[in-house]
Amino acid sequence: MGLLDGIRSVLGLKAEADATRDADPEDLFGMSTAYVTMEADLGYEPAGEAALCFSDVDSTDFQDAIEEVRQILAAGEVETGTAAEFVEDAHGYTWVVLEDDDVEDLITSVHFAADTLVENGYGSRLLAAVFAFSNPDNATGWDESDRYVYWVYSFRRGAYYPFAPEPGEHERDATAEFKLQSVLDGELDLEDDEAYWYPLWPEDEGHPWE
Amino acid sequence: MEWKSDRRLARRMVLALVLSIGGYSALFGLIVLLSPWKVAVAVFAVVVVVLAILVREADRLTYYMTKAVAIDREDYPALFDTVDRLARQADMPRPPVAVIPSDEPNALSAGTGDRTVVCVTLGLLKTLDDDELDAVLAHELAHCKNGDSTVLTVAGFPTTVALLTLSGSLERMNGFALFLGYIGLVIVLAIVSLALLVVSLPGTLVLARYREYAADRGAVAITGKPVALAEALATLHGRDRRPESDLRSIAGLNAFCIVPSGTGLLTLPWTHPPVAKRIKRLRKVQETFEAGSKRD
Repeated sequence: MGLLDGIRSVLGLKAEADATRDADPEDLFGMSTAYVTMEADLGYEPAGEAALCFSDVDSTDFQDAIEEVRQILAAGEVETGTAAEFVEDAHGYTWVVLEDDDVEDLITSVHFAADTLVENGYGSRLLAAVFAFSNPDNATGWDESDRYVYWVYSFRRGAYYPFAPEPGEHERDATAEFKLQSVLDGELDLEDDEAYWYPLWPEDEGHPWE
Repeated sequence: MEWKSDRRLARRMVLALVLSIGGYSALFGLIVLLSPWKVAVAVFAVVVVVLAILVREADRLTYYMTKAVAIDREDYPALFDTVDRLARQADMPRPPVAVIPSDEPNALSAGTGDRTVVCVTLGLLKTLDDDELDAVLAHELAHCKNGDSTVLTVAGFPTTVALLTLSGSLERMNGFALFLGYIGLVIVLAIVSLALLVVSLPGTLVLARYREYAADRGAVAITGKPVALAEALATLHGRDRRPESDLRSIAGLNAFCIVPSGTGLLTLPWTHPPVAKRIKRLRKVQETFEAGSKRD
């Protein structure tokens, strides 16, 4: 803890300051080279889907900002063909789900959406951007269900971390996550503190936003 | 939206901290005044050690006093996941979560660093709806982040010492003491500790109240929903519970329940601002949220 953090804590301002600190979308673009490595070195293929997760604010102004995001993404769809869909999950979080086989376009769209919220002053509401990859274990055919691994970009921390859910129960595939971490370290800005590797559990089968 | 930080609250917090230092100078002044310097140094060392233990073991103390049971995800998946989500938004690792087997709806947090435990009662889980529970948990996470358990344990220490000494000496003011002839000492102790209480109590109470306001603001910063917290407070407050606080329980140590507890769980009365005032402040935050849309 730095000196400033210490003072904030003693004054009882740390919770407020940290929760309202603006998002850090800078290192999001690391994904634009990382996905090549994912495929070349590990055999993980991009699943053609990414999503942006944010939490609501109880205000009209926020709804206006969301509308702006919607319009920007709709305009983008004409240009790049990236389909965008707004989904609300069971926890009350909103997801912008983007579909495009071109990973570059996905990253650009995620960044656009995030940036729009940041510019409207809602950067602190951004939780994570999630990029889905198909697990090569899929190809073995012994498992019927789709298995994915995810790179989660935390806007609070400005860093990526891997998330490999096991299908069914709430368990993580630690081996896969370790592999991802070791191979992509350096290419992506990784979250060092594993206490911040928050899971984003899917409701049942499928992606966390489904 | 521009998040407006509350400078007035920050200034008052400084004032409250200074007031609390007043309690300490009174405590140490008394020690230095009443004892030779070697004893004073020894007492000083003991105070530091006791404080360090209280701060470090606040979570164990809480488990012990409230009979809280630490939970895993399997026990209460919804609660566990909610804390997960809120902690992520608050930018902190998920703290340990515990459930207190009590019907009285309340929540509290205690401990230091990553050993700060967030406790909720079964009654709380039954009483509040999802948004309200989010708000209350966020309030507790804000307490964690602000280190309120540690700050209040340390700042409230002179008050605690005064309360313990006062109640102890009042208890011993009886015929037995008169008979054995130490009544004089007991009376002196009672007067001295009363004086210490008068000096130290205002700082502790004011500080505890401002920590509550700060945690309310922190909670709203985390959930983005001032109204939900206001409703939760109204719901919890609406249940009429007479406080029957026993001053001899380790009062003043841990004053960070979401609302003052009626069962004398670790609390001193008057540490929480009136709920009406807290709700009024939350309404002001909501106002600034909406002001954003008028500006554009």
